[in-house]
Amino acid sequence: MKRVKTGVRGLDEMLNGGFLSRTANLFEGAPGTGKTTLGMQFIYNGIVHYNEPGIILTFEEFPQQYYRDAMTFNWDLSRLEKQNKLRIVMTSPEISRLDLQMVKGRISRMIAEIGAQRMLVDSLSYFERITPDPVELRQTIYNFVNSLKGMGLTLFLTRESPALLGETPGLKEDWAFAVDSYSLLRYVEINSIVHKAILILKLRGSDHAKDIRQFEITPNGVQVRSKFKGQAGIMSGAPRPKPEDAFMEAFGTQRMKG
Amino acid sequence: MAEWEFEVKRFLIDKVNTKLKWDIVRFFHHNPYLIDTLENIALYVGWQQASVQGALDELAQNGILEIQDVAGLKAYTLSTSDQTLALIGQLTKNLQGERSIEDVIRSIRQGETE
Repeated sequence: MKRVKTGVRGLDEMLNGGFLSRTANLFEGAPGTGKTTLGMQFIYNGIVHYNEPGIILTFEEFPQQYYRDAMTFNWDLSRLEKQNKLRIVMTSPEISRLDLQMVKGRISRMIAEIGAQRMLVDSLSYFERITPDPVELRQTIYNFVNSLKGMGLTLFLTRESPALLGETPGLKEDWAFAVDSYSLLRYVEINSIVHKAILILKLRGSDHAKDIRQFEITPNGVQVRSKFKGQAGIMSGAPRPKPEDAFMEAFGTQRMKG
Repeated sequence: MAEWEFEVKRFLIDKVNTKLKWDIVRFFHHNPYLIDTLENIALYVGWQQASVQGALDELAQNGILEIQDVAGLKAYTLSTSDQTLALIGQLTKNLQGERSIEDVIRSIRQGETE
């Protein structure tokens, strides 16, 4: 099965080689955890390293914001747009979902014009404005995601979670149903230092890493590092040493000495 | 004020002749692939919907914007005409650093009557 590499160091390894082609991949996290950066990196790497043009569909940030943020990593999105390898499309969830249902919708035409194979949708949370009815929302997202997959795109979807630290109240299983992979980005406080953690909850049709790993936003973009060692309850946001490690830390040396 | 080409002058005086229209045109110039409704565009440019509606429709009549019927929803996009896009680009360049578009228009009009 064809893999679509993110080009993000450590992440492709967690994904067993990358996303599966023509799938929807959701990344959920609190503001500032790096969802959009990771998504931009997926698009940028796709164009520059794998010759796969991409589209950024934004419901919130203006294109200028993406150009500016990307330039901090030396990713010149404006140049890629001029080369017709990228489009940053600002719109609303309502317009985009209706446009995709049309025979010659504006977004579909743009996808065809540049031969887009990847798309970042930033962020899916805005669909919650369309309807308060969870059944209708689920159906709407399901249709939206499937219409994009049907156009041959591999999707990187972001979703904002309200909790800065710790578990998100009411993790939406509905969203997991609509997507092929579901990953969580979290802040984790260890010894008064805030780290960032990534966990792949599911990857339909493929094996994937089950451990929780640290990641950093470096001058070259996101880099996924090793897993957290000696900590339990990472996703609670405030992990504690594993019981055996805590025991060893408290008594181990003395007992050994004794 | 910089030297203005005749076409760019006419484009400003005849088609982008208010601060609101200029705010909208400039917004689309920076968001060339935007496709959105009146309500959202009004939010983005920070003007009242009622005023924005008239300006959007006039800009569409003048070929600067296009109106898309998206499954019954009215959405606006930037024109795809190369000529129009070039005029917008030149206008943006000429108006860089100008504080008041009204002053620029007044000054051009004065120059025309002298």
